[in-house]
This record gives sequence, C-alpha cells and structure tokens, in this order.
Amino acid sequence: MSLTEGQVEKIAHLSRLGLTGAEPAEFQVELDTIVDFVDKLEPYDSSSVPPSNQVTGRTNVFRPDQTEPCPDAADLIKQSPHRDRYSVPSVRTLWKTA
Amino acid sequence: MENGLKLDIETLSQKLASRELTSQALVEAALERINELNPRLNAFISVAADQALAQAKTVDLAFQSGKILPTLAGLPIAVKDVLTTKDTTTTAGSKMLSNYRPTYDAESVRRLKNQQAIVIGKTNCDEFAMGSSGEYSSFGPTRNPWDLERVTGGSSSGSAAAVAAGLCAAALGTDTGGSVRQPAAFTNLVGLKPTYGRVSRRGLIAMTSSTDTVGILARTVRDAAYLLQAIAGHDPRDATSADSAVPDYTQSLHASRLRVTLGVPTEYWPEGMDKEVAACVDQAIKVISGFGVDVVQVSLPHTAASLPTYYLINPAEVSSNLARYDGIRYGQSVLTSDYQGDLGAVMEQTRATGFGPEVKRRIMLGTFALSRGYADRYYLRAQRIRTLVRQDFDNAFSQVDYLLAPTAPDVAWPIGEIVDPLTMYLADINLTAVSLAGLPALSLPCGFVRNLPVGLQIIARPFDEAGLLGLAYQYEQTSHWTDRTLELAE
Repeated sequence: MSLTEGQVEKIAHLSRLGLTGAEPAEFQVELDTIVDFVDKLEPYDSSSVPPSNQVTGRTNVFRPDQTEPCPDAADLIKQSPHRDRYSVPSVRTLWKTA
Repeated sequence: MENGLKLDIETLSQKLASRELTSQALVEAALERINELNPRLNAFISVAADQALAQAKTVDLAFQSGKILPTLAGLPIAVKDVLTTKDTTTTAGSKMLSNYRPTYDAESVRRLKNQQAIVIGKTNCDEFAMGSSGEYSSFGPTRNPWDLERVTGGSSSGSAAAVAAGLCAAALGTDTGGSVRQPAAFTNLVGLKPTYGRVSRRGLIAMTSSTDTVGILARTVRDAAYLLQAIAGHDPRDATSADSAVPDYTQSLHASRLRVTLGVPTEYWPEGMDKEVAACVDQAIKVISGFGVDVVQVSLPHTAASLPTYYLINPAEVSSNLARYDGIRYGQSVLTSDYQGDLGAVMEQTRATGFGPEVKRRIMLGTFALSRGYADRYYLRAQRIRTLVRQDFDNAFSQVDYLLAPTAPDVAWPIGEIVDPLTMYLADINLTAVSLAGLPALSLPCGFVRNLPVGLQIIARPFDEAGLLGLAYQYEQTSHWTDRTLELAE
C-alpha cells in the first residue's frame, strides 16, 4: 500500500508528534518507502502460525504485592519539568480527531 | 602508564593485585587518553572523572591492605548511555534526556560496581539506540578509530570506539537488533549479545522490550567472558529475566571439547555482499573446519523475511515505549510556569523538539503498524512470521550446535554515505533474525579488508554462552586477529 501525506499527518497526531514545515512531505516519502519494504511479508502464508510476542516462555511472573517506601521520591520530583512539582495542563484538544 | 589499557583484563587485574600498577594510575591514564582522543572520536558523552578517581583510590587502599578483590576491581569500564547510572546524566543519545539524572543504577551497572569495576564514563550511541552506524546521535556521530572518516557501526558506537582506541578496558553496550555485534565487527572487537533474559534489562532505557539485551564490547574473548560473568544472572526486578544457573564462563575457555557440528546458513551471504568480506569470512570458516569439527550447509529460509519483520516489531514496541516521553514526567519539556497550551500541545511540542528524525520515523511507523485497520496486516503478521524465524533456528539447531556467518555484509562505510533510512536498515540483514529469536551470538574479529576490520558471527542455542565463548576462544587462539591494535595518535 502507499501512504499519503494526509495519512502521515494523522499518524503523527496519533503519535503526539507535532510536525512542522517540510516534515510531513519528507516523512511521507520515507515512510512510504519503508511500508513498501515491510509489504514484502505479504506473500508469506502465516495465517495458521501462532504469533510470537516474546521468546522466554515465561508467563505470569509475579512478586508479592507489598508496598515499599520510596527513598528517592525527592530526587524523582527534581526530574519533573518544574523541578519541584508535577503539573498537568488542561485536557482540551488531546482527543481531537485528525 | 603508556598503553596499559591495551593489556587484557586478566593481566591488568594481576598487575593491580601484585601492586605493580595502581587503579589510580590506570584511571588517570584512561582519563588522559580520553581527553586527548575523545575530541576526535566522540566516543563519550560524559566522563565521570571525579567519581572514577575516588573509586580507584578506594580500590587501591583495599589492595594495599592485602584484600583479594574480584577480577574487574579497579578497571575502567565504559557504559553505553542507554543504561542508567545513579546521579550521573543518562541521555540515551537524545536531546530528550540531555539533562536526565536517574535515581538508580541499571542492574548490569550495579553488578559491575559490585565487582568494584570503575564506570569511567557514558558512551555515545544512536538516539535511543535506534541506528546502525552511530550517526543518529543527538550528540554527533562517533568516529571509527580504524579510520576517522568512517562510521563505527551502531548503535553501541561509543562503546566500540572507546574499547578499540584503548580509552577503557571494556564496555557495556546494548543489542536489540545487532547494536553490539555490528560495531564490534567494524572496530575489530569481540561483541557479545547474550541470550534474551540472561542479563537483567532493569535500567536499560526501553526501546524494543521483546528483543533488548545488554551486551559486551571487549578486546578479547576472555575479557568478554569476565564481563558476562559479572553481569549475568536472575534479577527478580526484571520479569523477563531468566532464572537458569550461570556457568563459569572463563572456565569454558580452557575446554578443548570441540566435538561439535557447525552450520553455515547459505542465506547469510546475501546478494550484493562485498566479495572481499565474503572471502574473509569464508577463510575464517575454513580455519575453524581445520579444528576437526563437522561443518555443514544449513538453510534458514525466513532470513529475508526477518528484516521486514524486525522493522515492524521494533517500531511497534518503540512507539509504545517512547510514549512515556510526554513532557509531563521527566526529560525535556516545553512546559514552563507561564505555558499557555493544553496537554496535547505539551506532548506534541515536547516530542517534536526532543526527538530526532529516526526516532520520529520509528514512532510513526510503529503507530501505523498498530493502528486500527492495519494491526492485523502489519503487527500481527510480523509476530506470526517471527514464529517462523524462530522455527528456522530450531530446525537448524536440531542438526548443528553453532552457526557461522558474516556479522555484516560490508566493512564500515564513510560517515554520511548512507542517507536513506531504508538503506540503513538493510545493513542489519544478518543481525535481526537472531534478535527476534532471542539467541546468544558473538561477533569475532576474523580479518581485514581494505585495512578495515571484518567480523565473524557465531550464533548458539539459548543460554549456551559458555560454548559460544569456548568456540570463539579456539578461533582467537589460532588466528590472533584480536592482537592487532591500531596506531591512533601514539
């Protein structure tokens, strides 16, 4: 399949990536080439093959559900944009449809 | 201490223990060499000079008081900047994390420090480890010590350059789709990618969680064995960490039990491969055949499919993992006290300015492959073909014990030569299938073409790192390619 510039802009919105200037056109060319490349998988008949999402075979790896003190909470908050608190702006256009 | 860092780990360790050499002298020599050469190589993003010297003094005091310390004690080791280090900046090669100071050490780093190894600095890499050349770093390309106009390979570019140029004793890298093996091949190093789950991923900044591994760049097979010994083993804080026993890796290097069958997968000599590189690898396989082992041709029929499969699964996981960089929690952000935009704008603007082009491409490709209407056709199909890729290896390993192949189809290319993203992906042709299957593999120096290093890749069954290192050691002892050191600003 081929990707249009409009589709690239929609994907960018879903990815929460603001594209500017020539970026939509440039990414359209590059992503279209890569999608052509991954389309090489089409001829492989894999419909009866189970998917692999991991290789370890380990499932349901649990640990005891215990609360622990977090000694580095103050250092973690220093990594926030304001360095001393977390603040979240209002949610207005987050879910706009592209 | 001239050239001390060109000695192998065992020799350095013995010199420290016999107090013929101090850790302080070794670290000072490394820092001096970094000062001199890093402006040309761009191998390090940050250097922890003060901490390293302080630790070296502690180690020297322990040796002076007669203590017996682990083999890695007092040795300067470099760490790829996608592994977190407590209280020192960890950038992942990205502007997004240029000021990020983790509150904990990656488990692999913690284990190195437990051995009293000295983390001398954090090495350059492609942004969030996405790249095959070392050119996609926000901090500029790493240069290959064998030819400063060429790439080191990626994404563990700085770790490779630092070890090859003698700026440290060895280094940690990460290998998600070839990022340790390929730079090792391009810089005449041993590059070990352990089995998925053998080394904890805790503190490895996640890129492709289902194939991310912590790997090793070292000058010799024995050096690699010492590092693997230090970092391997179960970690309850990584749910994908394997709880199988860790053998004695250096012990396996003495074993001369080469009653093995080796397979040569025909698909790993792709059309368009450099003929001299092919001949170089063929010659190495001929040498190994002389060990009295059986060498047979095998087929891994889904090799051609493995690359497009990887370049769907990898971006899909990238798009999910990198969603955490939202401008709200940590890392770069456009959010200031007087910011007027809403949450969506914070995310879009932060990510637009914090990420480089390759990261954006992969996030978008992954978002596309996971989006409604396309997920079955792209992501799910890739997962199904991943099963076929794994079955290829299962079939091969029912006939043979190890697979031998070129690490890369070419030598290091000139910086700036590959501008098209897809052409860059194609450089990973012999690397990604192993990652999709989670197998251990090693790139081993096997010769030079046009004065540039060539790597032989050895692939093993899951958790057979000991056998892998043993076979590599036998070849290394015969060939001595790892003895060749470069003359850089001596």
